[in-house]
Formats: sequence, C-alpha cells, structure tokens
Amino acid sequence: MTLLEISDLYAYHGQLAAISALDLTVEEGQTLAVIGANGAGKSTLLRTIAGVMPAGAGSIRFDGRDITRLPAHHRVAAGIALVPEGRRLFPSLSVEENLLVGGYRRRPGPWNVDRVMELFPWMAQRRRQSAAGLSGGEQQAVAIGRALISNPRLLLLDEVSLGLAPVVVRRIYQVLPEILRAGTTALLVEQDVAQALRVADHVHCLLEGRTVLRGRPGELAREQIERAYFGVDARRQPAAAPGGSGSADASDPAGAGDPAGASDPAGAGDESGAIPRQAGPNPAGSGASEPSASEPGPAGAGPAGKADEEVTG
Amino acid sequence: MAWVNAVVQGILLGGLYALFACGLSIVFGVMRIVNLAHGDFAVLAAFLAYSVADATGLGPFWAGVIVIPVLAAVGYLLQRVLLQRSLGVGPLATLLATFGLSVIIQNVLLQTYSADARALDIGRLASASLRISGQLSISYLALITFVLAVVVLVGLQLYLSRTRTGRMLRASSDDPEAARLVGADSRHLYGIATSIAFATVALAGVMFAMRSSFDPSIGPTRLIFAFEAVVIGGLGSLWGTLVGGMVLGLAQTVAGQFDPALTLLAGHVIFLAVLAFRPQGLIPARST
Repeated sequence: MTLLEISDLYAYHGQLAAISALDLTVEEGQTLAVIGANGAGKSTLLRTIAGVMPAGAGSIRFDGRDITRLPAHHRVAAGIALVPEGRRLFPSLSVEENLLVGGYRRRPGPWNVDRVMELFPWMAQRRRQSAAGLSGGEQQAVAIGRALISNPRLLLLDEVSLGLAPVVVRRIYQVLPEILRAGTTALLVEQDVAQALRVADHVHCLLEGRTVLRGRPGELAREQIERAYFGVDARRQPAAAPGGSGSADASDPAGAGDPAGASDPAGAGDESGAIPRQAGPNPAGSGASEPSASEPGPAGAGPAGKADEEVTG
Repeated sequence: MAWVNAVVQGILLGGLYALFACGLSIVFGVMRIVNLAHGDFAVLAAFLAYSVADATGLGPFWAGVIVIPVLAAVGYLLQRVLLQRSLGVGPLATLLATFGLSVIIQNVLLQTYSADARALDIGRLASASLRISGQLSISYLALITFVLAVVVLVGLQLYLSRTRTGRMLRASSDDPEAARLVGADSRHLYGIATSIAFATVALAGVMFAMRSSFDPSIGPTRLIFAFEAVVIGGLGSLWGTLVGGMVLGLAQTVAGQFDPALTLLAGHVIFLAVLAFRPQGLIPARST
C-alpha cells in the first residue's frame, strides 16, 4: 500500500527552486533512502513533507489524504515525524522532557518513554540531565527517540550521520532495524551513501532538486550512482581533485571529534537552493582518484567510502 | 530601625514589581515580543476593576477576580488576531503594534474616565498594618501583594515544568520550528502564553490600584519598572524576575531613606549597572 505519494512537487528558497517536479512514492513498511550532494534538495524535501516548509506547487498525499497545505502539527497527529538535521533538541529541557515533548500529539502505538529508554539504556540514568550537555551521538539518539514517541507511521530521518564519529553512526544504524521492525516506514536522507545503501530497500538520488536515479540498491551499479550523485559534469574537473579531496577528508575527523556535533564545516550547511556548493564537485574528484573508490564493495563515493574505511579499519 | 523598615518595605514592593514583570518576561521568552503596552493593560485592568466595583457594589478584590479572566481572554484574542500577524512581518512590527496599542489604550481611557486620578477603595485594609515594633510595621496590603506574587510565580514555575502545555511552551521558546515538528500549534500556544501574561498583569494592575492612585497615563512608568525587574533578574528566568523585582524595590526604598528625591533614580541606576556589568542578569540560568 502506498503510504506517501508526492507528485510534481516544487519547493522554493526565495526565487530558487530547491525541488523541481519531484515525484516520489513510499510504500508502507519500506525504507527509502534519498541521496544526493549538498544542495540537492534532500533536507528541503523532508522539511516540505513534515510541513515546516511550504510546497510551492504539486501535491503530497499521505495515506490517500492530501496533506499539501496541512500545518505541521496536524501532520504529526496524522503520523509523520521528522528527526531534523542537526538534532534540534530543546536545550533547556532535560533528556526525559525532550522525550515527553515528543509525545505531545502521541498516537496509539508501541513507543513511549520507557520503550525508548530500553532501546538506549544510557538514557535512563541521565534522564534528568539537560539535553544540551549530551554528546552529538547521544543527542541524535534522543532526537530519534523524541520522534518515535509520537508513534509515527512515517519516520523522516535527516542526515543522521552528520557530524558524528563513524563508530557512533554505526551504532545508531544498528538500532534502526529494531525501530523499523515495529512496522514504521522510513524515509531517510543521507550523505553517507554506503550507509544509506546498506539500510534502504529503495534509493532515490537527487541532483539540484530533480530526481536523477531511482531503484533498489542491489540493482544499481556504483558507477551509475556516482554519476547521478554528482551529475555528469563532475567528470570534467579532475584538476580540483587533490586539494579538494584533502579538505573534504579533513572535515570528517573534525566533525567526528566535535562533542556538540553541531558544526561539521563541510556538511552542516543548509540545503538552501540549488546552488551546488564546492563540496559537491570536490568529493567527486576525490572519489574518482582515490584508490579506495576502485575497490569492489558497496558503492563508496567520496566521504561515504572514507567513513566506511574508518569503521572497518 | 528605619533601615530595617526600608529593607522590608523594599522587598515587599519588589513582589509587586515581580508581578508586573513576569507577564512581560513570559511574552518575551516565548514569542520574543516586547509588549510596550504591558503597563497600559495593567492600568486598563485597574479601571475595569474600578468600573466593576462601582457598578456592582462588589469589593475591589472580587472585582479583580472578575477582571483577571476577562484580560486573559483579551490577551488570547489579541495574540491570535493582531500579534500573530505582526510576528510574521518581523520584530519591528510587533514593537509598533504594541506601541500603537499603548497609545490607543491611554487615549480610550482618557476619553472614558477623564484624566482624574482614581483609587480602588479597600476601606480599612489600606492603612491596616502588622505592627512588629515601634518603627517597623508591615502593611497587610503589601504583604498580601507579596504573597500573591510568590504564589503566582511558583504556580507558573510548576505549570511550565510539570504540565504538557507548559513543557511545550518552554520547548517552543527554545526552538519554535522544532516545537512545530513535534506537534506544537504555535498560534494556540502563543495565545496561551499571552493570556497567562495578561492575567498576571491584570492582577498586578488591580493590586497596584489598591495601594496608590492611578490615572490613564501611568502605564509606561509601570512598563519601565517591569522591564527593569526582568533585566536585573535575567531574561527567561522566573526566579530571576522575583529577585529582580526585589532588587529594584530595595534600591528604591533604601535610597529613599537618604533622600526621597533619589527613589526613582536609584532604581534606574541599579538597572543600568546590571546592564553594564552583568548583562545576563542576576539569575540568568534558564531554570524555568
């Protein structure tokens, strides 16, 4: 059964179309990953589905009902929950209060504060602690818990791995299947392509606000994804690669060591507009020139392949 | 002993200032609106209580009990109809809107009640006091006001920390968009915050009107005292607001001991000193 059906969607940042003529469907129980470079419109897409960003044109149907103009809080009640980019916990609230606030428009279902604390056992001891004092990974766990407690039918996850150490990212992705086993449908946005391909059963690649590729991870060749991810033009600028790849890699450990996890210089930027930031083309070059990219295995393009290496090696 | 008296009176006066200030603090904390008409709504509440008492023959306390919910309702409507729209335009628009309200209220009151000073007549209670020693006596009215202020602040604190809506108000104050993502209906929440603020300022206005005379033009002075109490105490902290009110009251009464002419000046000087040397306020922690 189709849970989410987006047709011919446009969304604008001022004059710029961040999303153009986008069609996308998510079946109930499916895990769909939306991948794409910085500025491809991934976060805008999730924010438009969640209702905190207006749709310029087109329609969004949820469970057969048109929700294109529905205010965000009604969408939560209908069963859509977004784990926003950068976590966005409430710093003056405790861990437990952050979770409780997530249950403000709670639907009937399996998730509650106790259940989330079972999923992340460390939370129980630190329930009274301010959410501002948590590490990036812990904040991400609370943010996921906060969204789960509303018992969503559709869970939107925006850049879960952003600014987190690879080990932490892996730990968070380890609990994801357990979360989805409860029957929740997930739509996740991820820059870490390898990670996205591992958890998703469908992939949707955006480039400058348009869909350029879609399919099952197993059916897509790495080349194909790389091309879709960066656009065909990326092949034409190898000159920028060495310097560019150095800076792109350097930003990875920097983001990982940041306890607040708030500032990843390469990735924290908004998805505003269709302007492909430097980060787009650069990892393209690095992906092509790095030895790791030519190894067989999950399509590791740019930073994704890098993160994967650090975990296993 | 005169000094002890000044300190005690100052602390009690601080209760009234805190009562004036907490509504201002809530509206700013949740919506980032500086309500320039805050003092005028207190005066409006005082005049309404005066009219209710006059028309029904009820005592001022009962008139206050009637006026407070009326102002709360006015606050909710005002937020939904006027302030919400101006919020969408920007911070300057909310300033202008509340400034306009201030002008309108003053002139409507002037038109309706004339510029004569009035007072809410509370009979013997106005002068009755608890005599502690020869020079130290505590006015019952000041004591009642102080106790009410503490009760209101404790109640608000509990409301914000223990209830579902209170938690959501704090969340919305932290990050309005993230609050919408977990299901906050910001218009309704802002309406609630404003109605709470208006209820407290109505109480403050009525209590003020029992202890001294009032006329349509005194609103802005009340606003300044409330504003100073909020800044001295620290934005976003209700305990800070209580402390800020008391510091302001103390500064005024203690300075008044030296020279009555210094009363107002001392309060303003303390406010400026805090602003210059401790801009985050005395109790800045977001303990709400």
